[in-house]
Amino acid sequence: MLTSAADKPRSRQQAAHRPEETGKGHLVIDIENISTHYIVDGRAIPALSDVSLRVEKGEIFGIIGVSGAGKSTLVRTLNLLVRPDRGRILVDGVDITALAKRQLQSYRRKTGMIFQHFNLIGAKTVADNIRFPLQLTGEYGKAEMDRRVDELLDLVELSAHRDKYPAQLSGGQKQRVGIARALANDPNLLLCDEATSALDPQTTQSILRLLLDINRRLGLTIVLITHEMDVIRSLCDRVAVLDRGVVVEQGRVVEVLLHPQHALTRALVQESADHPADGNIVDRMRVQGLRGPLVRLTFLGAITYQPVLQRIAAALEVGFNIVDGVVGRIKDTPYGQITVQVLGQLPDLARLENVFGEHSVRCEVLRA
Amino acid sequence: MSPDFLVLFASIGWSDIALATGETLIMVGASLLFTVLFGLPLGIVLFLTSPRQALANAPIYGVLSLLVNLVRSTPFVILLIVLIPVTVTLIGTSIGVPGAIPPLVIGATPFFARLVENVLREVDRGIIEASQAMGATLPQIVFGALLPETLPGLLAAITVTAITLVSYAAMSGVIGGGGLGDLAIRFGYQRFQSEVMVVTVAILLLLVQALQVLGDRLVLHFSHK
Repeated sequence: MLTSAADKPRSRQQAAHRPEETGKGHLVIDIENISTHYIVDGRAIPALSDVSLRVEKGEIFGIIGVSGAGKSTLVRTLNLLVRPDRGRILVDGVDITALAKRQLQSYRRKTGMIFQHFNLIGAKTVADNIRFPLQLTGEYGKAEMDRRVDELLDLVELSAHRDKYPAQLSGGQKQRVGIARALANDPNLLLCDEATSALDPQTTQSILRLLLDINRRLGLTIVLITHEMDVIRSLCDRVAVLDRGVVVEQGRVVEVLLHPQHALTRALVQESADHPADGNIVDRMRVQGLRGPLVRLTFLGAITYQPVLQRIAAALEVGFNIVDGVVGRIKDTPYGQITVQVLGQLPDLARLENVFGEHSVRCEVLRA
Repeated sequence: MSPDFLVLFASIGWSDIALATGETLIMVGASLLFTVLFGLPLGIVLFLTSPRQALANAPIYGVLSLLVNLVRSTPFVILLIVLIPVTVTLIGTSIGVPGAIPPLVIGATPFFARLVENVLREVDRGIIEASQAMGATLPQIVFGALLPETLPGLLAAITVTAITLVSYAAMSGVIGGGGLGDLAIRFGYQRFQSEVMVVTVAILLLLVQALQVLGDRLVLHFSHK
């Protein structure tokens, strides 16, 4: 964005009022080469090794990995519940590892966090759990707090349960209280530590919808960790794959899911539902006795619903035999990924790739 | 009821017993108040300085822990005698109801503090972590999260301590502490009036029972599990 120095204060002010417009592209978190360790039997074991990540404002950033990969540690560095041994964490250009105690406390008040096991205070009612972070700031009068608590209860649809205790709630309701509590001080960032791992699939869906809704309505940046690719698929814009404390792959979710590079990513993608086990499609076709070239086509966005295959078949005078594939959505993006056998006399694969490319369809030759 | 039985109790000085019961109640009440007043902060400090807690500090925890163990391992009768000069320095006398209170408080405080430490240790770490993540200061975590969360446990600890104080208070009769224990020793033991002993024990039992029922009620009232 090109602005003169004089324009800057004005555009900043606008940014505060319209996060959804100006948010994109503004850097919010930059994790630079952080390393951490934990102690087992008096020995230091590395938990994170030289991790660097960038989270953009307003996006939902997912961190996935198997248990023990360091996900919990990584998300906890973002509010310094875990302090890195080395490296910096810049939030809007400010290194939070260098903050004084007071400053860190006010930073944390603007950084919400929800947990796998909710971590609600069992002795406080739903309303008082949500009131707690408001009380901590000492900035609100009683009437103001009551009003804010009512708003938050309404947001998470728990108004009818305001005077209940956590033990009287279901898991999903508890997590809603956790979300309301995390949002109480109008945070800039929401951290989710396996927020749906203790919930049944249906409840998981409702919590994920709520998080997506909050992200859109409030323009709130969300960083979440999970071991489930489905959570990444339905919620995240970008993802990092963590393996034994190292980021092995990161990028846009559609890119990582449809073209996983690292073996772990491939394994995680294949484990998750409704995706073809395409690892050995070539072998499977050989067993089936199918001859001729095999190509994998990836459609992304609106093109997914266009009759591209038919048009190209007509133009190049070839036939396509779909042998494997899936059409679905990743978050809001429609996609299709199919493997086709190319039929016809000596089809020109290079030309085929070009023509698909012209239609914005990615074409990979699996077998010539 | 046989006439013999009534005759037996006719010799009891009920006004003495009423007076002694009142003294015991005062001793237990006052020493419980001071025990909680000193023991609760001590228990909180023990908890916070213990390994892997917010103020983990091995030397401080080690010293406090040793002091607590020192008092707790000393039989209360010995403690009563050892503390006589301390009591005299503090309040000018070592006998009667006032003279009994300092040794009772000193004897019960480490016991209560250890109970508090254990109760706090039962709190799910996640609650502390969530409070930290919200930007709570340490006092805010202690008073806003830990103490409310452990209120039932703390009430149970106070109940146990109160009952311990009933028996300690009776024991303080040995050094002229006043109350039911004093009565039991002077009449029941030294004058061979067994019936006084029986009545004394019965009243102590009633007192303990009442404290336990009251404590249990309070614990239940404040539990939201």
